[in-house]
Amino acid sequence: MYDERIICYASVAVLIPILCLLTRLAYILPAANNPSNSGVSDITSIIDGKKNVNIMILLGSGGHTGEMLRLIESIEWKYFTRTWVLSSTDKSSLSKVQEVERSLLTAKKEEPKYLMVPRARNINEGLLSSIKSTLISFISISLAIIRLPVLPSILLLNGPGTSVPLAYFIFLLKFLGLCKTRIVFIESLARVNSLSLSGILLLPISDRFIVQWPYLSQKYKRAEYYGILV
Amino acid sequence: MNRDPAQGNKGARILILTGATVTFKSLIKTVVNAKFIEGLRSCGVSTLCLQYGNEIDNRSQTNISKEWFDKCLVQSGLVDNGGFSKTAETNEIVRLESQTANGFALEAFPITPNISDEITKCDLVISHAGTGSIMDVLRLSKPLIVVHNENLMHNHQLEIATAFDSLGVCKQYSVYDLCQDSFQDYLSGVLHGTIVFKTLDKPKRDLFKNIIFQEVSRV
Repeated sequence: MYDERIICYASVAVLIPILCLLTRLAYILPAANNPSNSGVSDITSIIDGKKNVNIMILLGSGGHTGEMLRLIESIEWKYFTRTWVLSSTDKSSLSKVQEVERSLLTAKKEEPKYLMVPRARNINEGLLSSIKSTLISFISISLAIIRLPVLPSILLLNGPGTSVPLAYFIFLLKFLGLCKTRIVFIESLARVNSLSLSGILLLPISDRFIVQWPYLSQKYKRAEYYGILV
Repeated sequence: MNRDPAQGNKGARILILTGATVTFKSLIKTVVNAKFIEGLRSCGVSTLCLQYGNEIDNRSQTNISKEWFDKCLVQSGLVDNGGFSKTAETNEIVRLESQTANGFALEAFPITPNISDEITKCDLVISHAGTGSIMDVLRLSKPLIVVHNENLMHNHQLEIATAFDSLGVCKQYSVYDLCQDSFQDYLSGVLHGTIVFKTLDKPKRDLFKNIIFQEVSRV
């Protein structure tokens, strides 16, 4: 009799937190909510009202960097501060982004931040070593991000391996209520008929999931297609 | 592109982009070839610009792409029996010229930071199926022939080439087919303006900017 009561209390004590966590997850998980891409009437007034809006942009390497820099050409930088995330070995992307930053000097006085992190999933890497390098990348990304003075309002990703640990760490912070970052994923133009591994893994946690070939938006309900954007 | 090479004193200029990080060996070997160049000349081409790549060997720090180009150049016999002579050579660019008939120049370089300038200067581009190069060319509205690299299995080059070809904005070719006579006819058609590609739609103005604004408003 006494034991039975203990078991009842114990199961309630375990189940309620689990239920709470699941409710929280269902509340913030983009995949569990209807995608809304309805237009906002007066965008600039909303932006003007928000101070210190930060955009975090991941630059993968070669092709990914090229596409990302082309994609963000139309963004009006006077509204945003920037945090660039780069592979620690990727000097070519660093010099490209510094060139972009030089051209923006007049638009915004605040200095951009650069986070150099080890790359997750190198090309031709096996499964086990991919998992290992992704974990290492996850840890160093989390250490770098918790030191940031401002957490990003927007996270822009276009598919390099490092997208996965970066987006999941930001999602963890969202889950804990520490930030409200909107995760925007743009699938690489190179993906015509199938999503990249990063794309598949990030589909449930991305607030916006944009593809550049029409077939992918037919295949995945949450994928938006507006033509080639780069 | 509509210039008639037979009438002008200067012929067409063709640019070949083989990618920067991986040497596209079969394409380089195919185009650094006396017969291929003869074919170009018969189509009215007078300058061939070849971007051969910048694949660096991890141990020796040498440029594998350049070594491959040099090797192909020797094997082609262009200098020894083809009437070509080197008129300029630096680390950046090699220029070979032939004075026979109307003259022909071959310029070769590893990579260039000003690829847009090179694309703007030429009449037609033959490019590997990397999305970066394809978009560089299509955004500058130059006629484009896309050649996929069969050796890059995980790079989706064939998928990309086929997808762009089916949009009608460029023409897909295999490396092997570049050596066929039908390629010369096709090239001639493009250079003389009888074959015209569609223009790729530009992204809707401010589309991505508005997506970002929408998301910021939801934070």
